[in-house]
This record gives sequence, C-alpha cells and structure tokens, in this order.
Amino acid sequence: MKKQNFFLYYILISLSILLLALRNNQGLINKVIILGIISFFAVALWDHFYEIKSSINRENTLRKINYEHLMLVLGTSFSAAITWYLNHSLGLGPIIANGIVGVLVALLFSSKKAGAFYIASFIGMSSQGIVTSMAMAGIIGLFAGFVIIFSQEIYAGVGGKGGTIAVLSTQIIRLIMSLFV
Amino acid sequence: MTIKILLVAVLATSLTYTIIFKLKKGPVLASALVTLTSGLLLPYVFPEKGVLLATVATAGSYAAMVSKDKFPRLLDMVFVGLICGLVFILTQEVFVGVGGRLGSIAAISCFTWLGIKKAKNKVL
Repeated sequence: MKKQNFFLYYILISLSILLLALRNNQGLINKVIILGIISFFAVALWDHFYEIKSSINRENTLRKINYEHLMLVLGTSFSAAITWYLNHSLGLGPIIANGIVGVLVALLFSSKKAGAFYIASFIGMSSQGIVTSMAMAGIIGLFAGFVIIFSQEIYAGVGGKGGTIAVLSTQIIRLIMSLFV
Repeated sequence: MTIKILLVAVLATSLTYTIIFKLKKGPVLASALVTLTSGLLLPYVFPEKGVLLATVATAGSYAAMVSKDKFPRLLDMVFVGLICGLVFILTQEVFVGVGGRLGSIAAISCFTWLGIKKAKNKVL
C-alpha cells in the first residue's frame, strides 16, 4: 500500500460528504455555497499535496511494524470498543462517551498515543445501525490503528484528520463485512 | 437556529484553541473537555435542540485541533468555526450515524479556510 493511496482515500471521504450534500440540498443558494466550499477545499488540498509530496516520495512504502505500533493498535481497538460500550450499553450517548474517553486517554497516555486513542474513540460514536456490536467497533478500531500509523503526514496539522480516519475505517470494514455476512 | 449553530461552532473552536495554545493543554484534553462539557450542559440549557447544539460543539472542538503553523491566530478559528457550522447545516443528512462524520466536517472546514486564505493571498 502506497501513501498516495491513503491521501486519495482521505480526499474521497471528504469529497463524498460534500458531493452527497450537493445532491441532498435542493435550494440554489445552498448548492452555490457547497460549490464554493468544494472550490476552496480543492485549492487547499492542492497546496497540502505539495506540502507532503516530499515525505510521500521519501518513504513510499509501509513502515515496519514494531512493538510500540502493536500496543498502539491494541489501544485503538480498546478505545473504540469502550466508547461504543459507554455510548450504547450504558446509554450515555456518543458525545458524552467520546468526551469521557478523551479526557481519560489525555490524562493517562502520552500525547501521541492519546491522539490515536481519541481518533479510535470516534468509531464508538457510530449508531448501532452502522456499528452493530462492541466487537465490530473493536475490529474497526484495530484497522484505524494501522491507518493512523501509515498515514501520519496526511492531513497533519488540520483539525478533523481523526474523523476522516474514523469514517474511512468504518466504511471499509463495513464494506468488507457486508461481503461475508 | 442557524445563528445558534454558527455561534456554538465559533465558541467551541475558539474555546478549544484557547485551551490548547493559551492554557498549553494538549489538543486531546482540550477537545474532550469541550465535548464533554457541551454534551452535559447544552441539553439542559436548550432542552429541545441541546443535543444538536452539543453535536455542533463537538465538531467545532475537533476543528480546533490544529497546528499553530497553519492557523496562527484565534481569528482563524472564528472563521473555521463559522465554516464548520455552515458545513454542519449543509451536511446534516450525510453519513448520519457513521463515527467520524463530525471530524470529517471539521477537516473540510479547516481546509476550506486554508483555501480561502490562499486565494485571498493570490488575489490581493
């Protein structure tokens, strides 16, 4: 898997949201606003591509997995599963569940790990119709952990990178599971 | 309601940004605190639309998890917050229930503001 692919997947997630919004909104003004957002979004993405291009060219293949990475991936899996449990099993709702997990990981772990676990926690915010069980949240969290490790430079320094990873992971695992279940 | 959504989004981005860079707390703690507080408070303050506003605040708090190189001023966050509120309103029916949707909205908002700044610098 090449890093360019991750960049394309990220763009695909962001653009699909905007294009679906363009389709769903009926009013002319809303459509014009969305088209404006798409235009400026594209300008910034073009700039971002040149910003990270050197790092993509420098390190074009997957990094090797080490012990620290394995712990991180396990942590993201637990974080997603725990958030799902707080959200659905305890009925706290997605926002409070995410907030509790976020505060805990920020206080207990280093900033890098806390960031990864917080990202995974977004997966647990999914509705039960999308992520049907705690185990599924854990599997998606596991996958998200790998995405986090292998796409560090992409969307770096921009708020919402984690959400894009969470949507990407959730949609890919749902797609894979729909083929077998 | 539109005004409330935009206001909450701007408040959430500005507050999270202030906690990260002025109070020197990490981005995760800052965002989680704003998310948790809005999730607990807003449904009580606004019984009808509190959950929706808490969701907006959550998206705003994600949007403020930025680097200072790209977003050096608090004013950047005010505009990111406005765009975030706007994108939230326009994408309310997209990817509903998918975890990370709010973060994706945040990313779109941040990139859009960066794009506007870039275009402004080229034109002016």
